[in-house]
Amino acid sequence: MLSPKRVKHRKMMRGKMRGCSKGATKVDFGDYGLQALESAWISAKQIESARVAITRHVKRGGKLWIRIFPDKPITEKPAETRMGKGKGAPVGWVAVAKRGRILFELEGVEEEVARRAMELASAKLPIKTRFVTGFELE
Amino acid sequence: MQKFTMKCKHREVLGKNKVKHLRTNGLVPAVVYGHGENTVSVSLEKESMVNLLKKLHGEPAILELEFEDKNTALTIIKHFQKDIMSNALLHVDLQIIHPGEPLKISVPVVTIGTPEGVKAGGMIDHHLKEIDVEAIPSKLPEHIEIDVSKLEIGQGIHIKEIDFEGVTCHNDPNQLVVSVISPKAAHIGEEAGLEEEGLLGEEVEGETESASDET
Repeated sequence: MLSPKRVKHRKMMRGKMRGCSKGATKVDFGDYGLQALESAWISAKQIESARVAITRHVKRGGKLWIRIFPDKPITEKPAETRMGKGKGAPVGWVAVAKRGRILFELEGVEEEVARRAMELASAKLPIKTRFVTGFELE
Repeated sequence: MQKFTMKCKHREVLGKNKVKHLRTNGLVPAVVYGHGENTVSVSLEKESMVNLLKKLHGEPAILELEFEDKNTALTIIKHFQKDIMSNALLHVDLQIIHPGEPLKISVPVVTIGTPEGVKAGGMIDHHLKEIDVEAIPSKLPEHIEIDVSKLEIGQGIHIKEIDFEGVTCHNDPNQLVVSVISPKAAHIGEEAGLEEEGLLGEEVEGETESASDET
């Protein structure tokens, strides 16, 4: 699973997820992408699960880019603990993905294969997503 | 390069909020600039501009603007903005060009044929998606075609190996444009997963900062 090699601070405040993603809103590296339509925390486990879903469907011949990185530590208090006495212990990592962000990119496969692979990856994520090619215009 | 003609009107409406009314009326705001001439704000028909951009599919084109006072201006589509969620066209930048003067633009790379290496199980890797070229507008290509059919696994094509046919290229001659990589390197399956994870971790380190900025 993805996680930072080292961090400056072990615990982080929750923060807000207002507005759209500021960067990574275009398909920059591959031919196809999976775009977030909602903002959410995506855990390292979910990213790994989606990655496995894509690679298993593509089998071989494709190139994958993961454009989110879980760099935000998440803490939890032990069960049956009274409130207070400080913040809980770190239990995992999440990526903050705001709506509009390209989560995964794929290259070197047919569009139908890429579409299905992204659909399978989408099922592993806690948000609504859409398949993009970068040339959509209305 | 392909040439298209489009009617446009001088635009008095300026500013973010006022321009919103233009968009609801089926127009798209645009700006015409360059070549030491005065910058002019114009509005274009949204539907025809969207159709044109869809048709071009990222390739450059010359656009001749016809103003309501019968004046014309030769331009290229320099940039366009779209809404990231609705994909609605928001604004277009048009740069004035002179037919006799050389112009520097980026043109997409198009590969032709299936490489021998791909038939043998390798994967084609595009290192460069666009190439910077310079020529007079009439001689500028819409895209650069590269024949990759003879490439074996481990082979690639560099800038210096491409025939630009009278067009000046501004990229480094030793820069790799396209290559065929071995199935092992291309494989993104389970076995390669751990190896790749390390690579990806490094690759997205830059993203880490931006992601934390957003919160």
